Amino acid sequence: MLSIYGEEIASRLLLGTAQYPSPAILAEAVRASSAGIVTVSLRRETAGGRTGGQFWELIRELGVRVLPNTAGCHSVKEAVTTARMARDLFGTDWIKLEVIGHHDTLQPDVFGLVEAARILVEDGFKVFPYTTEDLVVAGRLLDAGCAVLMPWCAPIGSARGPVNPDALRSFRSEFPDIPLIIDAGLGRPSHAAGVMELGFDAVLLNTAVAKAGDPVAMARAFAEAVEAGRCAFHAGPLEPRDMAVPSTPVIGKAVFE
Amino acid sequence: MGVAGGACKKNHMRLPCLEGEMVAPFDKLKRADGGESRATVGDIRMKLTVNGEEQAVSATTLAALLVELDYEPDFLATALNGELVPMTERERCALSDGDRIEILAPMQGG
Repeated sequence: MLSIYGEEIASRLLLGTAQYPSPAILAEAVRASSAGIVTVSLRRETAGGRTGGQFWELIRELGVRVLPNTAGCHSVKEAVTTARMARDLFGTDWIKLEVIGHHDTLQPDVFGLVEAARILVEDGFKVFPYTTEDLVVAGRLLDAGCAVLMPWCAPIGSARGPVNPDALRSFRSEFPDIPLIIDAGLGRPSHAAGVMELGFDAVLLNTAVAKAGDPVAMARAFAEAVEAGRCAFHAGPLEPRDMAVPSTPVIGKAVFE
Repeated sequence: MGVAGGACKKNHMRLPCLEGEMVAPFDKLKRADGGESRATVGDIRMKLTVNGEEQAVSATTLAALLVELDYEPDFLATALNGELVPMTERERCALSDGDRIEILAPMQGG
């Protein structure tokens, strides 16, 4: 079973909670996905507003573990304060650390990410850093005290799937003993199966399920794809070959001349 | 667990009310039912920035501010001037004129 920061993680699919057509569909999609961990965020509450409390009740009823994020933070200061506020509110020292560096691609500011990770680890957090597939940055995040890495496979919400599979392969082989979660960019269950076949430990997705025509059915499809990909990885997939290789035995074939 | 609760400490040495603006809250003083008003003449209101918007408030602590603005305190995280104020510190967190308050709630996220 997957173990992260000493916790046994039953499901290898982590699901985001944003952009669903309704709270009821969100709840049903989480159940259909079998996710044991969902991501949540913090946003300004209006005076007299009760939306935050209602959302929190819904999540608590699902009985899943929450992974708060620092989505939308563009500076170390913002991300660190948001993480501390999340810990106070959600009662968990887990934090999905995002420090956004580029407006259009939502690419992480990897320099700020490493700095924020160091500060938060020293403050007792268990940091899940949203990063790129850059090996050097990943090494610095581990040096900072992160015990899990979450590389993107394409920009957030782009649904493009793994745009650089070679880099992901290198990433996996560079860090064989670190839990690696593909976070962001997955569009279809086949993408999820593909990265799981490469040996990634889990996937984190949101938009691909929430914005699907039928989010609940798509949640189930992703769950099965993640399972299939994991099984395939353990089963040892064939490497691609340049030339055809007959699958039917050639020896013993009749000759008609 | 090393939670940064220091956002308020500096405020204990300050006298926020003296920096506040004098505002006579006529709406509170002239109650039709003749009941006693909580406000007194010369009620001092502070100008704060709450979630990016300027507000004039009577509250002098963060806990009182949440009540005054009708928030549900159990489902909120609060920050004063960019630093977390833990739930357990709100009662002791004195406010000063010009403070910037962030009041955040759980929301959907990816």
